Amino acid sequence: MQTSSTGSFELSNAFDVPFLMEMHDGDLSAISAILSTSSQQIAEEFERCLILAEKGDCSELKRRIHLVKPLWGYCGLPEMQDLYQGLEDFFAQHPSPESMRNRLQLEHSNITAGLHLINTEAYRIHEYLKQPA
Amino acid sequence: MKLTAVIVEDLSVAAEVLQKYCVKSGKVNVLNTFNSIKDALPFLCDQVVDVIFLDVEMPGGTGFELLDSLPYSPQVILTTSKTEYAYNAFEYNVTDFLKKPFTYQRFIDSLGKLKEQSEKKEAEEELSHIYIKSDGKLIRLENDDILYIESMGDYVKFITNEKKIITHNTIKNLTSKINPSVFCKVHRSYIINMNKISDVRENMLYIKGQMIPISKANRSMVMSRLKII
Repeated sequence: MQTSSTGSFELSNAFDVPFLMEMHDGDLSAISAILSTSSQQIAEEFERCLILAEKGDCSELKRRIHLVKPLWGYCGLPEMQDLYQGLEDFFAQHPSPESMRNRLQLEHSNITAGLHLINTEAYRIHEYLKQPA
Repeated sequence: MKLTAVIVEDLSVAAEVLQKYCVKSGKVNVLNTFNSIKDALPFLCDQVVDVIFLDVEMPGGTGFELLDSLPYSPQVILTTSKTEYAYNAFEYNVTDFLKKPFTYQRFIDSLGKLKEQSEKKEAEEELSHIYIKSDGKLIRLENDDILYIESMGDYVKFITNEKKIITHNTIKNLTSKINPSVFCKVHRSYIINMNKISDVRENMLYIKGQMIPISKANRSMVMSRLKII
């Protein structure tokens, strides 16, 4: 995994490191907190989205995707925010329930991979901060 | 002095980051944070704030609906992840549009725009009225209420729709103190509100039926300010 140095800790270059560092003044615990909170909310909302797709509730599904979309950006993963923008645009066209389910399934692995990246990084920071100074 | 602000945002992470930026800047005092329009509205109707950081798509209504319901017009910085709202932002005369997530530097740029706007507003407000001394008190007169000002030697008479107020002053002194985009000296004894002229004939103009002379020296300047088509 490529990393970017912040003091003695190196954040993964999969993230927009300059953005994360600027947003939190280089405070690793704040970065870890935002990664954990966001990952949890994105995961919960995605589960909700799958249920909404089953029900065919397109407008609520779109609203939920819109709500959590910026969380990816706040985690320093703008390309995942773009992926969610694509989902939001797709659901804005009121597709059939079957298309809704298919689209979510199609993106499922990308979203899971994104969440995995976030969780791994949050854990790495957490472990680093546990070390004695 | 710090700006007073309210954050209306349904994404808690976004609200927390914004709150942090406000504290870090040392320029914004966040009075409250709300996650819905329904909760924000009573507070904002009760408490006048300098700026609202406002998300657009919210539970129970859009940020624009909140603006429609407010009895006053605070400065607004829209915070959204959707650029499609830029047109509405323009329509609502919002001060800035921040696409989430945004950097601290971008936030600081927004505060610069806020300052610029409030200075502009203050300057406009300052030019919208005057105070004159009369009967031992200071009387506020809105520019729009003044029809014309007439010299009376060491005194001048302010003529409004409803009253005439005499004060110790001169046309010469007033000429340099009134808003030049509204008023015009048309004669050594008269300053008029250009927006109140009903008609102009030769060397005379009329305001509410009152004939006011235009001096030769001022005529071309007066004529140049009339929108003649």
